[in-house]
Amino acid sequence: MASAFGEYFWQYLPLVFFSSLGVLQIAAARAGLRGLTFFRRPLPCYLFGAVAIVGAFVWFYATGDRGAEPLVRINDGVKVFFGETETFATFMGGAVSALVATILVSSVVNARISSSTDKGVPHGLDALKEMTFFQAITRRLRKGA
Amino acid sequence: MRLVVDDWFVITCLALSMIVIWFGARSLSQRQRNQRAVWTAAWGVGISCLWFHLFRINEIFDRARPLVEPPLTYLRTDQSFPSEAAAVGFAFATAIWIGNRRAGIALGFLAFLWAFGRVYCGAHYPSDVIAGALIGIFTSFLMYFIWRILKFAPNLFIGFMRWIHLA
Repeated sequence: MASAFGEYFWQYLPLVFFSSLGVLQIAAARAGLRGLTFFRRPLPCYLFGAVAIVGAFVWFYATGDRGAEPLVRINDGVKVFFGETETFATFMGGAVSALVATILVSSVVNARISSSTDKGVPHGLDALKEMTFFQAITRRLRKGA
Repeated sequence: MRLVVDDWFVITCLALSMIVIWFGARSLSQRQRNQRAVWTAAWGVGISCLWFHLFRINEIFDRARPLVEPPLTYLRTDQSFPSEAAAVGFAFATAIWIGNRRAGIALGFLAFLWAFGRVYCGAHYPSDVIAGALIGIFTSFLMYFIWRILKFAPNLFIGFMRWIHLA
């Protein structure tokens, strides 16, 4: 019997990607992680986050009747499956892609956030309060820490 | 109500909330508690699901779904007892509650709504979701105590994430 996995994958992945992007902006703004935000002030970050999350869910539910069919079923002899493992893998793929996109965009947007190279690099996420992800990583590697 | 009984909405919201809890704390001490809670939640949910598949709990009890024509969702033909959705929801909520009371209560409300929705739409009996919730709560506490003993594993993971400035 043939099987189809892609049907739900390409619908769920954009939902996770864009909602994760929004959630990351809200979380970064809340924690004061200036190096991860797309905007200088928190309010636009919250607004961007809310629009991304709501927009992603509205798109997802507008493009299909999500409660109408089971995630594992047989359609015209083709087994359609999207079980727990597939859902988890897709969620992780979407969330990690959103994190990578956030790091790339925020590093470009905030390229001038920290010009001094004399200061030490704070540990963990605290570093992203005053510099971008790539600035933190490169300074750490340069100092050999 | 249809939104909370489908297979997507609540579980996605619960998983997205893990991102907020991981990144969103303002102080270092709260962040460390939150990140340990997310670690525990991930294991709690994973092991809760593992119980269902490893021991085939649903097949052992072999209880039919309450309604043959559910009003809000598709017809479920697999076994009803216990509810895996309730186990997952309450595993998330319990693990987070241990590290962050306010977030845990919010997630608990979401998990309750999910479980209530499943009963409301005829996908489960109340006893199904109560048993599922107990499995989830038990598993998250079990994971919490296991990772308190085997501290090195979460410390290693969170330490690495901290080294690359993501924790």
